[in-house]
Amino acid sequence: MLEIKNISKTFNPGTINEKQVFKDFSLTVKDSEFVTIIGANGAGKSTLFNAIAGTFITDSGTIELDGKNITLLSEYKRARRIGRLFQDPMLGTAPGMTIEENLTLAAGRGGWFSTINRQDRERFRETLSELKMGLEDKLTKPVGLLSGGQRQALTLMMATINPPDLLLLDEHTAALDPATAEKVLQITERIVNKHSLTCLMITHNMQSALDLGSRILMMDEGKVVFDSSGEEKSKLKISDLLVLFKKRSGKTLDTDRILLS
Amino acid sequence: MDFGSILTLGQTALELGLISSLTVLALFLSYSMLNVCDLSTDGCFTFGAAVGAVVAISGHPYLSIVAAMCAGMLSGLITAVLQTRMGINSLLAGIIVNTGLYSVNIAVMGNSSLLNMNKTETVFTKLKSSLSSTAFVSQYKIIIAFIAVALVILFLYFFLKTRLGLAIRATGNNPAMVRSSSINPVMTTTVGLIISNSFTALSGCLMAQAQKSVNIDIGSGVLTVALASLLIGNAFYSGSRIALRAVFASVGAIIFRIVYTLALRFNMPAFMLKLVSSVIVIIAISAPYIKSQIPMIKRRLANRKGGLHA
Repeated sequence: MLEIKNISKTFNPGTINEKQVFKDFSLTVKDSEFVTIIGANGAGKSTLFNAIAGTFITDSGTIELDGKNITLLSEYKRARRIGRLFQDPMLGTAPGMTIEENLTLAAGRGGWFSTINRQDRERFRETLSELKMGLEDKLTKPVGLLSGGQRQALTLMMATINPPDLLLLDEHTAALDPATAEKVLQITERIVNKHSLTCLMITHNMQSALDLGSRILMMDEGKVVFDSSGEEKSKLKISDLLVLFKKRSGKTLDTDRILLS
Repeated sequence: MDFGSILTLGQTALELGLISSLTVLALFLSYSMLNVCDLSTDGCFTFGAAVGAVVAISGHPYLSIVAAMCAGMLSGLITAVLQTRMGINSLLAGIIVNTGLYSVNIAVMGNSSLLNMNKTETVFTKLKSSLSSTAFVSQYKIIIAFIAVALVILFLYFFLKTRLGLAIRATGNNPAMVRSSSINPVMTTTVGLIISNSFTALSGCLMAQAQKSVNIDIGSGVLTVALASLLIGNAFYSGSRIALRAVFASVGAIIFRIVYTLALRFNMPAFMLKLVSSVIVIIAISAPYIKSQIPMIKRRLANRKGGLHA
């Protein structure tokens, strides 16, 4: 369970660029809940992920993950329990290293001086075959040779090879072509269900925000303006979301980037 | 020039090439793997030479090697702490350590800028005396240098396959990915620089003991020469097999020495060494960039030829 209590964050305090992104922001996500997050640019969606993952430390408030206080923990320490994917497929993998070397770093089994053995390779092959992208036969190929979609799928595997307590997906399919994006989304859903992961997913695709997950959040100016789950969520349509957004935030949803279908 | 003197020249080039290839292997780890340009290399090389010489002069030929490597590790640790824990830019951290080491090195050598090891017992003299009745007696320097290089390459081959080695490579390749794989990039950078600087110091120590003297300038320009050698090696092999890349890094150092020796035979003055190595580094690093610009330059020129109508 993720519990964010009253966090606040102001960037560049005391300067002309001062910007308060969160003021007493709270959010609770239950175990195995799959939450999709939508909102206009600058709503604070990615900033929320940065706060949870520890890219910056909040000014006040607490963040707890499964009962442990992680508020002041550094980013790499949180990464042991939080998996994260970015929009840019290049960010999650080391291009100059092979698939199995990337997976080894993510898998984190054994000591610092352990090397890849047959058992690891067997496990990697098995995990990768779930993707149905043929990556299981390319274990010793450099990741730089893979396509964006393949790299993002591999990153997803790396983030979940040891099922994390929390998975953060920051528009992880936005940079992919529609067909590949669809495929990566299907894989995402399968993996999240398989391990019953607690997952937050930011998306600009309203349809996948409605199709996927058990709860939907709409954010605006650092606040949650709409929160729906269960049966209520399953009945929502895109038109409902647009009306709701206008009602709650007093403006129309920036539709330049938002995909309505 | 008779055959005998060609052989002697070749042998000297091989000796110097092998010994300096230890610095090239250090850069292979810090520059090629960790993606840090360690500007403390010159000072660290001299540091290893000075510490090694002082310990050897006090009568401990084997301990001198260990002491020099430990000195290198210390220097690497300081460079790493400056850039990872104290917010100093990585290039600046290297320059600062390099400058500081100048004073340290003179202090280590007992307030002198020159130490003579003519009568000092070193690993080289040890091997020379134990080979005295065999046919290999004149190859003693090559044997020691070769063993050192082989051990370092073997170490790198195994080390870079371990999880720690992979983490160091990933830190140079994609730091963002390292952080999100729960590995501390501060730790990997520190370990990488400690190991690479121990090789640089070993290189300095063996260089001083092979030429039986240290002077405070022994390390000046070593970084550029080693970088040139590394890039020459890269030109021959830049594939994905780590061990081969390390081997070719050392081969690059030997080629550099052979070319340099030949140039000296054709009356190039010795002081040209550093200019030549600078030019090699400039060409090797800038060539890919300039090559990528050529189509654009051509288009601009064509455009200009078209004159007013273009």
